[in-house]
Amino acid sequence: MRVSFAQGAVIAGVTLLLWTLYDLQFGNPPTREETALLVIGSAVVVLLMGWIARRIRPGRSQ
Amino acid sequence: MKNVARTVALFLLVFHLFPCGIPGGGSAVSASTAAPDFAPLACSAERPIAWRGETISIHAWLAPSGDAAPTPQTYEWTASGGQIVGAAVATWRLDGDPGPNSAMVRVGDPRGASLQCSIRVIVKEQPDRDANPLPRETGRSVLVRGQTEEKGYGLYSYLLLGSPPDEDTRERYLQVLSAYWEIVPTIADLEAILPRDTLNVTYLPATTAPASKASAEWALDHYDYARALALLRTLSGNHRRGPYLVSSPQPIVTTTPLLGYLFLDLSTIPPRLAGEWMKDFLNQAAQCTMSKPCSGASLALELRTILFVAASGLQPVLQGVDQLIVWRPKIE
Repeated sequence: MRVSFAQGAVIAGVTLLLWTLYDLQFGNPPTREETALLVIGSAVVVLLMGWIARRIRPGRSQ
Repeated sequence: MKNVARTVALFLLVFHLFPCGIPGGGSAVSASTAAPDFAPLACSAERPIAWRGETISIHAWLAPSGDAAPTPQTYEWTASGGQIVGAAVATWRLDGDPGPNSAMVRVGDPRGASLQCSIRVIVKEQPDRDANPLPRETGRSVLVRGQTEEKGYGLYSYLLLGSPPDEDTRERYLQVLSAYWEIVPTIADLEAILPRDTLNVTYLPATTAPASKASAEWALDHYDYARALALLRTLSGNHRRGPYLVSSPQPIVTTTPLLGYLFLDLSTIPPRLAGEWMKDFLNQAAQCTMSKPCSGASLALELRTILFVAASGLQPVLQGVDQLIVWRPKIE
């Protein structure tokens, strides 16, 4: 995946939020593989939202 | 001379009308069906104002009239609130509502004649001794299999594990047990200084009695999981993880659901913060109303836990992001 710095920061933030919720809920941190899945899930959501934002207001996005 | 005679006559009239008007707020009313052998009757209370639930003494006095030999009398006390026991000298337990409470004594003789006298006492509510109570202290004790809880403690707490440790939970169990073993003094030490009813005994179920140098490892190896499950089933919900801290004003009876208890779930806390959570439990148990959590301190501990978990997740998350995404160069 090739993303901009801003998109990467948002993906990292969302992933960290999910990672924290996972640990607090289950009492154990996610494994490496689970963390990778959380990153992919966050990236899909963030990029999808960015794509939707471009479709709705094309003038405001790159 | 005429004035002196008038004054004496007035004094005698007043004395007959109010023969016991002064002491203890009492007053006398005579109501006889026949002329009694005694007059007048006076009654009074030990004090005009008393606390609710207090017991005061009350008296009824009578003087024989004329030269007739005194006859046996009966004393019958009635009260608007509380209970009166006794005859001429009686005790009045003031269990009635706060405010003016009255008692009446009817003194009768064998001929059926009687006199009455009433007393009024202001009952005040007891001062709230629990408004600013001393904090309750917590001590630890091992609950050996087959042993029952000792009676008389102010609060009964249990450190419960819902299942034997696995590789994920072992570290947390050990840290919580270490905090329990190191932060909480033994109940025997506390009992040497403080009365038992001001203590919170925190039991650790174990299969055998501990050696003199027991530790968290010993506690984990000799933990009585069967008893812990029996205690946990009295709580609402499923508790298969742990550690849990449960407090109740009475020892937990494993056959009836537990009501009105303090429950602290430590099953998801970071092991490194076990000591902080144990101190939070001690603070909550120290309160007189232990079912109401110290919201400010607990919220701060919750936030600290979230921050701790998020901080420990920062490194693996950044590594994961770094592995999976490629930064797009900025387009000029």
